Amino acid sequence: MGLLSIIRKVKAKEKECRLLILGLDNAGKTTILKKFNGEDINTISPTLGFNIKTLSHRGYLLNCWDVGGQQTIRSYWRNYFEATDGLIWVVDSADRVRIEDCKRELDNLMSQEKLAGASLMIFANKQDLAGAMSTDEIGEALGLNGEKFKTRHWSIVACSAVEGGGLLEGMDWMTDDISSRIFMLS
Amino acid sequence: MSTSPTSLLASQNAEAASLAAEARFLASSKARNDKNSSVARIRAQEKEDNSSSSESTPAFLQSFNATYQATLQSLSSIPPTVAVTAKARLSCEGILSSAINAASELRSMTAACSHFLNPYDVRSSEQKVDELLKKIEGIKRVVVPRKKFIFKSRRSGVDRSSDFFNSESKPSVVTLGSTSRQEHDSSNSQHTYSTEYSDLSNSHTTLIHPLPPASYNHKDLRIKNVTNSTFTLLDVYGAVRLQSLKNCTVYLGCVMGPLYVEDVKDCKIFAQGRQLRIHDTYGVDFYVHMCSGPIIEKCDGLRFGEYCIDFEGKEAMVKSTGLLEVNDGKNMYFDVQDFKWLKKMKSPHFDLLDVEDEESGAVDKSENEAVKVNTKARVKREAREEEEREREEKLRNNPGAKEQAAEEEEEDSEDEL
Repeated sequence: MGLLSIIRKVKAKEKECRLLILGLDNAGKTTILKKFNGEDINTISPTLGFNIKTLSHRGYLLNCWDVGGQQTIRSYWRNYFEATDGLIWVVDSADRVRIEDCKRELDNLMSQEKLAGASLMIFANKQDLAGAMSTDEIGEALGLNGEKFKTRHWSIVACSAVEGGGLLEGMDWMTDDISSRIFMLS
Repeated sequence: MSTSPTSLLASQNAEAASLAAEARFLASSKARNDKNSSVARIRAQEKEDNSSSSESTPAFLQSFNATYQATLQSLSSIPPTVAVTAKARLSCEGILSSAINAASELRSMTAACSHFLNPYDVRSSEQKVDELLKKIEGIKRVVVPRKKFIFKSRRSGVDRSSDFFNSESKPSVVTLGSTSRQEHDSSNSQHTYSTEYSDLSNSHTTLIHPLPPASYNHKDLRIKNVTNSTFTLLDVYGAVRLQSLKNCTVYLGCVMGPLYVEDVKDCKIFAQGRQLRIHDTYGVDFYVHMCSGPIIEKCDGLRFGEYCIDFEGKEAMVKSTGLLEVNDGKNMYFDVQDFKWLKKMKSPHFDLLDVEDEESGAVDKSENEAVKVNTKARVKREAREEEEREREEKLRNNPGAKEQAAEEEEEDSEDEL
């Protein structure tokens, strides 16, 4: 966050921030967004492009960009990095097989310069499934204690998009963290 | 705080300049937005949010310093050596995590009160929080050093770092990955998936669904590395993964979550569910009822048709899951999206099946007694048999109608021709 962007934020009429929701396909990104927004989650189909939702949470306007996670369209993620305040990384906790893919993609994002200042919120989704990994296991598998995450504000929260548990805690942390970084001087 | 006076002065100058710029900005936006500016609104809101903390600088500083000192004190209670025993480690971690919480609380407190504090107080409070966090981090590194991250299954002989740097040499990484996965799976299969069938060939697994809806499974299922087999699993599942199947037939009841198919060849899959995601799959027929259109990625030779099988208790099962109420019970199997085909015309990687045509070979009935396939031809044949039976009965009861019946039969056979 440079000074200019802070000033821009101060100038903005509302406390507005831009969140980017990413993760492998079948992680539950769209389900999290729709559940948080109180929409029907039964008819969700795999995301072909992206969804945008503006949520109002605790006095903040959150512009959420939910971009599809299929392998073919992951290369387009970078088009959405600009001016992102927070990155929400969604992990399918029941998918042990692809956790290494998950780590690779996350590492790739973390090395992106445009996302350098963004807070990172990791949702360990699908905790309602019997075979789900715990947050500790996922944290270890993603290497969250490594050097790359030393300088970043990050948090990991267990959640179930279908049942709704954990979503609020995650969003609360996100808004707190962003506000402490950006809206300090407003 | 060990900066030399000159550099301190320089940084103060820079900060003063930036503050002046901000002040100008604030002033101009204020002027534009009149007295009901958003800033004022936000401040008012913040005041409401923080009604507990009083609005004066001394009160803020007092509570800030109290928390700060308390946290420092709690940190000083940790011995500056590595915590060896699990108990010591646990207690240290507890203290550290509560210290981190306190620090973040201080930070948000500062943020919340920043509108009435002067910039110097804000900055010095921020600095204190930063120092505190740095100190916590330092203690953490000494007292509870983090375990070196390593994949458990790779511990035997394979150095992780060398593996990491050699990631360009793909083949070796792939083999490593696959072996580690296998080990991982074999050690974890008991609790990883509530139901798992893996590494089978030529097997016929039949699990007829439990009849009362209360006993439906609702757990996740995985079928992996299987060839030439048939699975009849007429139950309700939470999520299903089919991986690396070859030449198999899979009959599933209902899948409440996604049905995830990867690396499957020459199979037939029957299922009802919400989502169907297919990757790296060739020559597979899907007979499905889906609430949303299936997606395919890197696939070819797929065919999609309706869920055309019947089994005992199917209605009750579908009813209990509520799958048919979604989307008004519309089956979206035909709405296939191909990620590897961006043109407007239909992707060549899949076709739709006319299930009612028995030629499509939906199922080899002799293979399976639990499920029945409803094709148009079979329905016709059944109707004809029924008719014949009726006719025979009539003949038996009324010999006079024999001629008439014979005529009718002729007509029928002509029709059939």
